[in-house]
Amino acid sequence: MAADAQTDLFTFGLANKKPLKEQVTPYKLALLVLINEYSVMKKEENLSPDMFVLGERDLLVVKFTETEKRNFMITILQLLQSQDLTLRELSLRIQDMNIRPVLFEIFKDRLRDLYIVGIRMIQDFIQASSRLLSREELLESCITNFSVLGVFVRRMLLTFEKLTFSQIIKLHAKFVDYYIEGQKEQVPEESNIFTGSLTDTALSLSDVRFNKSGLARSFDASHHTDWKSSQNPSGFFSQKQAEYFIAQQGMLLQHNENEALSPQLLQERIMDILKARPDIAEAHFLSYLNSLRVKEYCTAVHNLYHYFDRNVNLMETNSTNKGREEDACRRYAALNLALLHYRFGHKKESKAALHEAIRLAQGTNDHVCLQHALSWLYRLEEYGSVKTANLMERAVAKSSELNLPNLTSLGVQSLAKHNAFAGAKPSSVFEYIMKSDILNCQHSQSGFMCMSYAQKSALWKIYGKRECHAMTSQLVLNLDTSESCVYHNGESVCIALCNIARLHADNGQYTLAFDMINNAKLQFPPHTQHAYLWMSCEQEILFDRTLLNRKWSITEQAIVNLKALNELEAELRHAILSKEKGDVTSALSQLNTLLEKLSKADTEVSPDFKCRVLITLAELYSQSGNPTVAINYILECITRSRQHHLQQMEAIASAHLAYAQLQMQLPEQALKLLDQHMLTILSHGSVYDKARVLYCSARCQVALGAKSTKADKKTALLAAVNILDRVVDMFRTVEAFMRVKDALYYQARLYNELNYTAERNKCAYQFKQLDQEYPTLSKACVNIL
Amino acid sequence: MMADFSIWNLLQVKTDLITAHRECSQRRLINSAKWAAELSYSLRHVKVDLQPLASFQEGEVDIQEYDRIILATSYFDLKEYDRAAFFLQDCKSPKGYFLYMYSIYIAEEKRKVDNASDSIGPPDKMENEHLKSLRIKLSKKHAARELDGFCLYLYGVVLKKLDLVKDAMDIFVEALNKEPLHWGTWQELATLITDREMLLSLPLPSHWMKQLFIAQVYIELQLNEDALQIFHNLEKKGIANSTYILSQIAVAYHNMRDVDRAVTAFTELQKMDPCRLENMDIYSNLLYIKEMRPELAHLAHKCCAIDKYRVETCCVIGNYYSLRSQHEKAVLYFQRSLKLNPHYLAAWTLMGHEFMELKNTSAAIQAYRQAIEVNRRDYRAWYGLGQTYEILKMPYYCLYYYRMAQQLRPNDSRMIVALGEAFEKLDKLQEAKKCFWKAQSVGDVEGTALIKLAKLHERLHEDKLAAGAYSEFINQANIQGTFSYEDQSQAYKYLANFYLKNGQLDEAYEAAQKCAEYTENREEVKAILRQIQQERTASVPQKRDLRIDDSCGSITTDQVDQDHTPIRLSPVSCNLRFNTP
Repeated sequence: MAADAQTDLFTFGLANKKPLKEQVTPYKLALLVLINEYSVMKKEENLSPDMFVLGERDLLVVKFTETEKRNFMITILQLLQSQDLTLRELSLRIQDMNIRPVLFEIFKDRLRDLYIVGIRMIQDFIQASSRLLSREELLESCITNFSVLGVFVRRMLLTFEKLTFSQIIKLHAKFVDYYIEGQKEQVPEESNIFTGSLTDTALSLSDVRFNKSGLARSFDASHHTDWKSSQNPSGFFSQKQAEYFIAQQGMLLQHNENEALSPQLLQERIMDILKARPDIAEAHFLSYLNSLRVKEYCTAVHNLYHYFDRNVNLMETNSTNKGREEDACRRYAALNLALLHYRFGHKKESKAALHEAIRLAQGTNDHVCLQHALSWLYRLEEYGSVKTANLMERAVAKSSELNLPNLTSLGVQSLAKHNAFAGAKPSSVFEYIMKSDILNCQHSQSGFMCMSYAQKSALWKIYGKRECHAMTSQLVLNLDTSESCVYHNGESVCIALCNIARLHADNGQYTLAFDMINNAKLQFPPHTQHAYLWMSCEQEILFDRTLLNRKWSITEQAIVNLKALNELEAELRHAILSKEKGDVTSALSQLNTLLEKLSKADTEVSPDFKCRVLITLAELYSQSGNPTVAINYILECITRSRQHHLQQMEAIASAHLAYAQLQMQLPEQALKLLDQHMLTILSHGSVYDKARVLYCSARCQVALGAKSTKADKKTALLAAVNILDRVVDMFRTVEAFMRVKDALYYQARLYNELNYTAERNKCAYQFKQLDQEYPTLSKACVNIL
Repeated sequence: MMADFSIWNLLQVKTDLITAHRECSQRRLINSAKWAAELSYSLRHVKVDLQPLASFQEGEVDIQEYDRIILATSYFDLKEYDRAAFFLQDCKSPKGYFLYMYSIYIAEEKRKVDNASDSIGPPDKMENEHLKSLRIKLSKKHAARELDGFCLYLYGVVLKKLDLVKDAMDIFVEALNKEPLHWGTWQELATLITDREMLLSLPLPSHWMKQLFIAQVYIELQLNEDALQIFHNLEKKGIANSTYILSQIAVAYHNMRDVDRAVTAFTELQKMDPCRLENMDIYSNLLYIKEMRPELAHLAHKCCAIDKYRVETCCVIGNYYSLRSQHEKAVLYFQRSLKLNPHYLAAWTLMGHEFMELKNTSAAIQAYRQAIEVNRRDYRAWYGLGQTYEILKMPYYCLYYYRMAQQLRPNDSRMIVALGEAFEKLDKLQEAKKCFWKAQSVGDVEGTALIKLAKLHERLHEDKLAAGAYSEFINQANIQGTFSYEDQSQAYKYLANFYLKNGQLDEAYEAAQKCAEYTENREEVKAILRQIQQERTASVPQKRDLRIDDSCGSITTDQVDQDHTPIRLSPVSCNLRFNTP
């Protein structure tokens, strides 16, 4: 009894009287008119089939074709689901509908009647509409009670029935206003549009227009109409409209941000909804998502709290159920708060909120919530530790038990990544990911599918399989991820685009690479969540390119830009630049500090990063004529690469080792080592790497030839010259002009040795030309791999 | 600015008030007229010549307009506003024009309210159509400079209703410069002012009414001390018996949580104006806080007898039921008051409290949220939400609400203590310490901050700070005469142990003696005393003196936790002042 009393007591006061779920608005009235006229026309057509009736209404007896009927139905469905449109927009949509213009004419006439005659007409009209609903004798022609239209008509009739007389007067006043508003702007343009649509619709445009799906069209419409310019903002007057809108936009925000309304516009719409229906708590949540999108912390927090305060469903009278739901709501509130803090990078706060959620969930034995919390927990825990791995394993096991495919899939993917970083065998890692693929396939989770491919492509990359890497990246873009004609557009897509851009850049196709980046820019505008991916990719490519073609002012700028996005990477690249500039001491100190940092936080970066640092160090030493010291680092790098199965990294390190051996007058060993790894590099390396390794092998051959007989020496020199031709070409494609110059010089010397004067002079000439543009200023940039 | 009382000439004030009342009541601005009359009544000891004031009015309008105006005002009094407007259409005189516009405005507003009950949807733009047309008409006249002070007031009101706040303020200021005697304009302007700077920057006429206005604004901005100062100055000037001023003073005391003085002010007000209902809701809140049940019952009875369909009455009755622990009935009455006026903010919050008592947390959350939606600056509702979530064992979640409350009332120790407790639950002890210290330094209302701080220090093993806080707590308790059995015994016990450890045997002995007055720790105290005895026999007096100096130095210079050293007191001087209560 007590519980009953409580719920009965709690009804909000007059001002907060819940607005009716459905309302008769002028827009709906207009729709009703449209449906009415359409049905009447159809009815008459049925009454007098194939008969040509003369008289004033003979035009009506045109038979609708099947296409026309379909078009009408599709449009009416969209109109029913959209928010209230102004009369002008509505008229445009009807004209666009690709149906006999007669319908629109009659529709307009009828609206004018309603406007002129007043409430008597409205009431008559409503009464007439009730006749539309099917009765036995007219079964075919009318609207069935349970069809979409039938439900709409009945709802309108019911709602109208409930209105008091003064409310009908008010409705009429609103309608008059609506009509005048619609007519005002229309008058000058009307004839123009109308004749245009007459011919257009009949002719070519029809097919093109309807190729687009229904949903896309409805959003087009909302994109194109400028809400701000029309002083009469259309509202969400019925709960259905608002809910549909919120669900739609929420889905789009998650699936493909670009297709959703722009943040500002969306916020305005949300404000409209809340003004009209303050009881719809979901609107606050949508607003929260929207704020997350633009990284607006304060509003996001306020909205989140507001949503969860409001979310309690008071209409539910079932008291036992209610209490449980409220508890759940609170758990998820804390969980969402954790998520919010995580999104803004507040890890500590996030953890505190998460622990709260876990405590609440444990209190009520809510395993589903606990699983969600667990998947957050392993994200928040220190990355790469054994504890985290244990958490992940538990998460995977338990979520598959509880039948939560998305959490399982996520857990599998995270664990696979963890294993890969921890140096597990590649085959086992890929096998494990397959588990996630199967789940994604079974439950068609398009977002996770993309993620899985993106992860595989990343794995291929660190394992040094370039072609597989390229293929999986392209697969991400190639997946059919559409949900109601909207493609998935998330982090993985952006990553794939960046991967492909980087691949192009590695091949020296810089323009293509920047085309890819530009594409990413369009898909992920700078203010969005994933934009940092293409930003850093762009800067890295810029860095690589300008480092090689010696535009160091841009290189420095790229480092500064990169620093904001990825600090470690920027530091490494800064060291590389110092090294290239010949600033040995600062490069050395930078690299050493970087190494120290990595030894402290080894697990947080991908394993190949440390290898890159080591190689750079080795390069630095060998550049400054210390191959013996360099070897230490190279060997460390090789061990590390083997440990993590980084094949390409190992090959490159070996090439460095070979070069060091060459420097130490051991060309034989060097050549042997190079031959071992040549295949990997030629098949998976970037153009620059290939050229460097080939160049090194040519030098080894020459060095080896110097020790042998004269004939052998000549063949060795000739072979080297041929290789160098290729090397020069390759260096040219990646715009590494200093290296081109170096190779040319070497080639010239070889020709000189061979007494090929003409060829020698040609090389020398080319060298001279390049030397004027790119003079050699320090010794450091000559004697390198 | 506020000290400028030189323009207060009581004779002048009285004359002005009579004029103001006449002008306002002729224009049917009833509330302003009432206000002027009330104030004028309180100045009844000032004698003025009524003759010129009374005969002043007729000369200005010609006879035809006069007829129209009296006809229209009669209709107006009968609440037939449209009819009044019709007969005023052609009036040219400012007064006639004002009445014409005013009756149109009132007519439409009344229609809006009447229609609200059977509105079929959310408020739409149609509802403000009349305001727009009024605005257009008035702005034309305004541009031609044909509006007098009253019409400008109406123009401002229209602008304010249309949410054009900036324009509305300019117009109100202009209106005041033309017609400073109209209290309604001042009142409307007061609601638009958001901070002190804004108030100071307005180009207002230097009229005696300005002082009252400033005081009112100060109260709304919660600058209660400043407001009180103005009111007290006014009382000195001779307007002692004004009900208006007295009620405002009471409200100010209430806001300052000075319950006793507020109650006194209200009882006086009751004597002067026994049938008054305005502000009685606040009075009932005070009685509730003081748990003065018979007085509250009496008040509820009286209010109900006077007018049971008033927001204030319902609120008083609600409070009464709540005090009687009949929370369901209390909720019922708060809901009734909300039905009478949905914008009556306090009821939402109070209802939230009642739901909390009923353990209906979700309903409480809804009620608090609603209060916040009506007014985002309602710190009580934020605080209530925080408490609710704290009860639901979500200490991290409730932080947000306490923070909001604390932002709105930066100097209210209750919010800060609540924050500190939440932090303590989350094991964020440093933050908690900061909160308790801040609560202590802004003036702790409930007197719990210090003991909590001390316990926290004890928990963190910051012995010296803990000792300082405990002894300060004891001092405060002794000064204020508050008595908390458990806390004090614990404080003495800790101090005894602390001094013993530091070798300050005399102090330790004293503290232990005090502690022995409380029953619960008697055994431990005996042990301490015995230990002191042993130490005494063992130690050398000179050495002890040295140690005192040491501890003194160490506390003031090298504290354990330097970043927020909460209490700087040399324990020797403080700790020795152990007075018996």
